[in-house]
Amino acid sequence: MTARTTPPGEARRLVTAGYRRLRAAHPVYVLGWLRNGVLLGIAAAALLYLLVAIQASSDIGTAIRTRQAIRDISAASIAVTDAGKALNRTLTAEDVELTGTGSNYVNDISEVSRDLALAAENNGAGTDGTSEIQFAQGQLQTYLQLSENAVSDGELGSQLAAAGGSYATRGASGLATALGGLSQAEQTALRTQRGAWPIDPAAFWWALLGPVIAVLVLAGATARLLARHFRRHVSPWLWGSLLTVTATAATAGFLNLDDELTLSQDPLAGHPVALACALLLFLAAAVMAHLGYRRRLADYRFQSS
Amino acid sequence: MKPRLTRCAVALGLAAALCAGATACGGASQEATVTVIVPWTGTEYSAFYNVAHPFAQSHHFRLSIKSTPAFAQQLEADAATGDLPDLVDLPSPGAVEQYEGKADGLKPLSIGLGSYDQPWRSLAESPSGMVYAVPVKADVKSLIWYKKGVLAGATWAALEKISRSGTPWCLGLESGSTSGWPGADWVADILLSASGAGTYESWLAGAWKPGAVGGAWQAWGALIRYGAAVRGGALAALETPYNRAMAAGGCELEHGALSATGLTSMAGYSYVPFPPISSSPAPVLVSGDFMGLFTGNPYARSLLQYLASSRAQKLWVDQPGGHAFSADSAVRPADYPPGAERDIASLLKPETGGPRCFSAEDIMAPDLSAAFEQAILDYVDNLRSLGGLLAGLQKTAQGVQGPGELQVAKNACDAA
Repeated sequence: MTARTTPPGEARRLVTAGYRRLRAAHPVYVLGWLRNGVLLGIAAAALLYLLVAIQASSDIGTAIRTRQAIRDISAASIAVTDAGKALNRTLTAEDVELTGTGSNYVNDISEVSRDLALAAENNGAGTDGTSEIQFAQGQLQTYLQLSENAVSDGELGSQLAAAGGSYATRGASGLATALGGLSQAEQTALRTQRGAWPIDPAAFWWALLGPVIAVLVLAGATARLLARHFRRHVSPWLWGSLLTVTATAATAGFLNLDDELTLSQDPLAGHPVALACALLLFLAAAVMAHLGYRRRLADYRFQSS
Repeated sequence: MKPRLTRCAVALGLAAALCAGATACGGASQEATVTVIVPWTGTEYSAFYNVAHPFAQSHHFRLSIKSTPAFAQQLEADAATGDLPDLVDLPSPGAVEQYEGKADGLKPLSIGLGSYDQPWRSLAESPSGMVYAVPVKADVKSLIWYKKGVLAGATWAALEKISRSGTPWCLGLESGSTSGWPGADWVADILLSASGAGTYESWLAGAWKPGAVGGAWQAWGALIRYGAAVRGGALAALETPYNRAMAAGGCELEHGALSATGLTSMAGYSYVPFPPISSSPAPVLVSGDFMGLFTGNPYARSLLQYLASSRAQKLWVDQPGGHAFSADSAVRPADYPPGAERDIASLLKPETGGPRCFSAEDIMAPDLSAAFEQAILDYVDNLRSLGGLLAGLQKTAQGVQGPGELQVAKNACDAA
């Protein structure tokens, strides 16, 4: 099979021929095409709104979980710092033979484990996140071992006890670095998630308003055609349709924008009530558009040949 | 009516296709990833990255490199979740032996190590001849670093003399979960230099000669306990990071590998090979990093194959500040940057110097190695008598590996 390409001259000829046919067509036929275009534009606006609203709800849900994972990691980092301070206090000021690592240290380490488990549940960074979480868990094991060594050296009341604290600090620093890497992976994932087209303002506004702009252009062409060939104004029904479709799409856009900015737990743009209202309004706009063209088209009904 | 219906259907179909296309564009494609665990940081890490990353790019996979010296704890945590890293750099043949032939352990490799020198080649192979890890890096530990003008003669007696006269050694034993290893290298080097490769291998295999081993510990203890022999006193070494002792200043001599000195510039410093004490010529204490495959990831396998190649090895040793040496015989001293690296590289070659023996704590099984490191810390801190420490180590050795069971110990030296 040979690929057929149209040379630029040929394309220009085709466009010119199409424009000539359009100019030669009876204005009523053109009016019918414009009506179909407007109806199709309204249908596209409704479909794209549905798509944006449903997909945005899902994307916002994912982003919310990732944001929670970042908060869990941040809490774990704070707990690691607290655990380090608690261990140092125990090693320097308490009798480790009696207290061991100390209850504050144990509580802080439990907090780190719990936060890491929660971060794993809410991980939004996929395999990268899983790998970072495992790395952090390995570092936690190392830190625990170094802390226990520090305490057992401390029981002997030696210089090594102080050094053991310093080795454990190195372990805590390794764990903190691992948590930093994990947080970075989740933040990168969150940025990617918030850049998804249904919640990225630069993309979803075009999706919502693109069909509306097309409808407005077609309505402008309709107004010009009616004025030139029929000496009539555009029907108020069509104006009503344009107003309805524009207002509905813009409202949906603002709701979606607010959902994205606040990472709303309950997105308004995708709320069932909002979905039902918007679809009814789009339907109403389509009916009004149909009524807006009907009278003029009915005046010039031709028999099908 | 019929054509109109058809047109409507086509229009709706186009709209649906547009929606489906837009949804599909929202999904991101998943790129293959190879996870690697290495112990290196700083310029050593950068050197590895500069070797591995271009290969990953040209073979369209992503590298996820994690740096930690505590590989055992990391592997344990990963095994608990059933998601092991693809490649792990194991810092010792003892660790390779521990993980080979296990269900969750190292995968056998079809990589020929014929071009690799001994003892790295034998240490990378199991007793059945199967290769489970590649000696991607080598190093020389039998080096004495000094400030130019400090050391008059490269003999053991000269070293003892300047220690007694108050020239301080740089000694840092702090290294996180592996604290104590620089002292373990000291003891191993003294034993090797005083008693020779045969005694050294017997010690590693479990046949202790208490006099020789104890003598090595005592010789090291004497060296670091002279009045000002270690900057800040021997106890200060417990809290000094191993790679900051010399760079921090205030001391003039250090024992160990180039990478362990922490020096960013060699200006004003020089080195001599560890001097013979009673054995001549003194064997050279060496070490190595063995990278093994823990998963069936084909990208990881291809990366390991590449790292084992002479091309990658030459690129690695040429990385500025990487302090990397290669056990591949195809990598000649001329492939190294001029200066200390090129000179040290010649010590790795079979045709120069005495036999090359792998460092003791790297040969030992990980548990015994950890006990050795802890014993070093306890010895410096005077917590237990030397006799008690040696008895404890011997008991641990028998418990961990059984008498003479550690296969790799038989290959510790290339010509014992």
